[in-house]
Amino acid sequence: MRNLAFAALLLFSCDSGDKYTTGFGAAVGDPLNASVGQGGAQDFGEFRSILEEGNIPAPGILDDVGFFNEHSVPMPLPDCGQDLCVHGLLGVLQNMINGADCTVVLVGMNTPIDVETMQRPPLNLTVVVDASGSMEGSPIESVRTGLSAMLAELEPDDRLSVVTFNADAEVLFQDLPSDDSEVQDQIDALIADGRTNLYEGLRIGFQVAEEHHDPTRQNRLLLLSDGMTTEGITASDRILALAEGYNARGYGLSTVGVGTEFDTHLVSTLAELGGGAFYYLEDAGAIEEVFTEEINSFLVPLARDVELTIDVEDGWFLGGFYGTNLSEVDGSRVTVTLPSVQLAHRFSESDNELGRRGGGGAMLLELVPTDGDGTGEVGVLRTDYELVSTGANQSQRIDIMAPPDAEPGWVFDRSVEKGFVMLNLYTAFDMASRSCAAGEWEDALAVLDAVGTAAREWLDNEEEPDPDISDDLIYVDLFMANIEARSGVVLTPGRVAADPWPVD
Amino acid sequence: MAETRPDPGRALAHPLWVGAFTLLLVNDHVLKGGNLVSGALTGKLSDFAILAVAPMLLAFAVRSRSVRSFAAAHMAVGVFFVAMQLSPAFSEAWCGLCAAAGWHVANTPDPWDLMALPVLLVSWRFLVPVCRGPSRLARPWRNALAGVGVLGCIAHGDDKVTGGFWDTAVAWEYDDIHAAIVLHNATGDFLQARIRALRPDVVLDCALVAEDPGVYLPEAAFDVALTWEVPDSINVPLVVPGGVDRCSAAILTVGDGEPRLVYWPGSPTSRTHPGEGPATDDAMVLATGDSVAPVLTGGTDMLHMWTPLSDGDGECSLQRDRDRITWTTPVPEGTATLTKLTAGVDGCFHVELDGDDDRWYLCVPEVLFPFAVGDELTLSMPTAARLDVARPSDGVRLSLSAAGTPSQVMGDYEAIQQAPSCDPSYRAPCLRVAASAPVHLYRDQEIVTDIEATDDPRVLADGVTAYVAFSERRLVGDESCGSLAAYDLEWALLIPGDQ
Repeated sequence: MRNLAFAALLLFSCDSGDKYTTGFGAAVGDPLNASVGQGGAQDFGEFRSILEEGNIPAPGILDDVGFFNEHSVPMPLPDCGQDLCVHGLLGVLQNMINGADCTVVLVGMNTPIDVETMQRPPLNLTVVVDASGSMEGSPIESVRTGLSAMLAELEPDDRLSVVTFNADAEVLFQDLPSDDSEVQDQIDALIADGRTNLYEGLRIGFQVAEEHHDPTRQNRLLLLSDGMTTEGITASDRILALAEGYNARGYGLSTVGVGTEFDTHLVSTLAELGGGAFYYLEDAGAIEEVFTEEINSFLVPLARDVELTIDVEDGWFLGGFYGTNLSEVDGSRVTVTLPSVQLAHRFSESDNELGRRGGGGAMLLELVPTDGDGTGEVGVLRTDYELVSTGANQSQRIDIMAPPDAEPGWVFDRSVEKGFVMLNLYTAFDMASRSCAAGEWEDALAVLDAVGTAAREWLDNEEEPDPDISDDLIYVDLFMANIEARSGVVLTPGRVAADPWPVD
Repeated sequence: MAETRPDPGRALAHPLWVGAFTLLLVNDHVLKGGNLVSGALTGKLSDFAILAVAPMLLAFAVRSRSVRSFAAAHMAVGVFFVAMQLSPAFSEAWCGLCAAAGWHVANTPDPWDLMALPVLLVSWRFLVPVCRGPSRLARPWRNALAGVGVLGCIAHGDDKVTGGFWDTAVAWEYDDIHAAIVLHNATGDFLQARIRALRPDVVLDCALVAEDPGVYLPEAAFDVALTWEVPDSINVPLVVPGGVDRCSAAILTVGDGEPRLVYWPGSPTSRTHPGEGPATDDAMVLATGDSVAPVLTGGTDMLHMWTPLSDGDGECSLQRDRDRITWTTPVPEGTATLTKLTAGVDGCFHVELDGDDDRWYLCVPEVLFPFAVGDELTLSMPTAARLDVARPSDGVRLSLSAAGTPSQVMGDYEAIQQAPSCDPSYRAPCLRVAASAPVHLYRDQEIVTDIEATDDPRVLADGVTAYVAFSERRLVGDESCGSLAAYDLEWALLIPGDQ
């Protein structure tokens, strides 16, 4: 059984100052230290594939949720006495782009539940497949192969329904066990043509799942699409409302986007609102593996209706927020509403033999001290949620404090450092994309060069190798090579990178 | 002893050929884009080098073994070079062919490049005679050199690099320019200008944006930058509008200066400007003797300080699309019995009518939908943006209007969108700069009530229920996701049976 991933919240302040945090057990990697993930994009595959093709990603292509989900960060022991524990980890650091002081608080969730003893409950799974004309040929063939392979992964108790959609939706079969002969026959007969009515496919899919709802099963949907919706109700908000509404009724939704023509924001946000995972597949050939990967990652959602509220104390300015599409910032308060928190695929930093996706997640909050020396109370993190196993409502509170004696470089533990490195890499990629869009090639090279150099130094000082960050550096180098090839510009020695957080 | 047949491979070991080839490689891969040599010089060096390299390389590649065929190779290279410099269509076709083969090259036709043609004579004079002499290199080395040479020549392009979203261009194409505004370099020096044109799918409400263009346009409204290396006295297109009377904008960054917004209000039509020469009346002129910090002296009324909007900026809290009144098409017009009604979690009804096999969806607040299974309903569309659902048995009628006009009439009522009462806000990823606008409801030219889009349905004195689902004045929209500029008003009337 797989471990639970984590959801992390980084509170960081780019300012000098001494801060400390409330303490907790530092041991990591214990079998009863299982982290919890927020779902959404599980990778930054689109960004990677653009770089691998020798191109330069446009601003906005890099999704922070997907990027952080490709990184596994160990968390302290979940010793809060509840099934879901919230942590706050503080570090006083310097950003890796131009060296300005930054204070970081990593807030994460994990659980003491021993996932090794957990059994996956049977599934009521509805697969919703785009069978429009763009899927004709090898893509629909890959869907047939993938669905067939998925049948082998299903347990005898699982029930499966398949809905296809083009201009209209069609229920191919519903509520059948995987070994029913009709299942394979219908999968083999799948064809693709016509336009794309995503709304109707998804709505009929949810209705089928609801019709066969079984409280003893996981009631889930898996949506696969390769194109923009062109038929029926096309407003994204309406389609998102479906996922949100049905998730509130207990139906999870994971999504798979294939190729480059689909609406990435819509399909990834559907998964976030649906409490599931989003997978980006560069080509249809990978459809086969993602079906089985998703089945193997299904575990019981740990909690639902999770609301994180961060109230920043007086003396601090709330500068920005990163890492989720499900947050609202209002003055000095951030509210994150997660329909559910669940499992991810990876259970350690080295568990990446099937790729990096599903490592965890992170959300980032930027703070600036407005008066005083940046010590004392920083903020209060409150968490309210409903435990899926018992239906009980629980809540926690973390007071985030800044110690009077912490010097730059002080961190609670390595987790904070890794979270901070992730943040800097994400920020550098984003800044480089924006600089390239503005034709400021050397600015882009400067920020990538700075973060690459600093991340390598961090890796060199680590006792254990970090495959996630090492892999990121490949894309830092590739990004720089693509810029040089496209622009002919080379980095002038001594060129200083722009300030990543100039508000600070 | 019999005389050996001429071998073009021998020319590839000649210092002239090797030197020219080295120059080609260094120029294309080191000098271009760097700061050591000006863009104008690197472009010319490439032309000279390639004309020295290509003829004998071509002869070697096609295994020519006669002086006559060497002459043909020189002719072929000359004709090709002339066609590339004089014919944009030929140049484009060649680049397309290379791209199809995986080589992304670009060429800017420029008749001035023909000044390099005499190099062919140099090649003929010095390289052809050595083909009769002994080889200076073993055949494998010559073959390898020729292979590298072919790659170098194919990969050769001028300073314009294309691919994906990113472009750099060199302004020594002096053809006429079709644009609304051109940038004219009158500094007496070479300049770099980065121009970000408005994205073609972005639409502006010209009247509203013109009030203060510098504060209403987010960065996402603009394409990636096109970088121009502009020689003195040369013009480059600055604003190229999509339509004749459409306003447009661009972001202009000169050298290391701050990006500034150029807003073209749409009054002068786009026209043809000379590629080279004095500035025209509506040119934006880079005119100063200080090439380090040039200033814009022409068209300053179109130049604005730019404060790009960020996601979430603005006073107005923008409505969500899920609040909209929506129905799918085709509408099953005519009279039929409502056989099944399924309310969705998203606020849309799945309406099933007797005799209609297609699924039909209607998104409207539940309180406005009084019909039940078994009712006989008549559906009609008086206009493309209007839907009426009526129950003939008692005359109850639901009228829905969703159109891009600020004034709409249904029955005895007219809804007129008012000016927004707050500053516009920006929302991504579907580009949208807008402000919520209140609505006045009129009957017999008298104001009956004021309604905001977020208000609950309101019962009027005559028993009619009025509801405004969506009312927004949009300054900037994105056609690619259906977010058009200007007026957006959706409202409904539930009319009791006695009217």
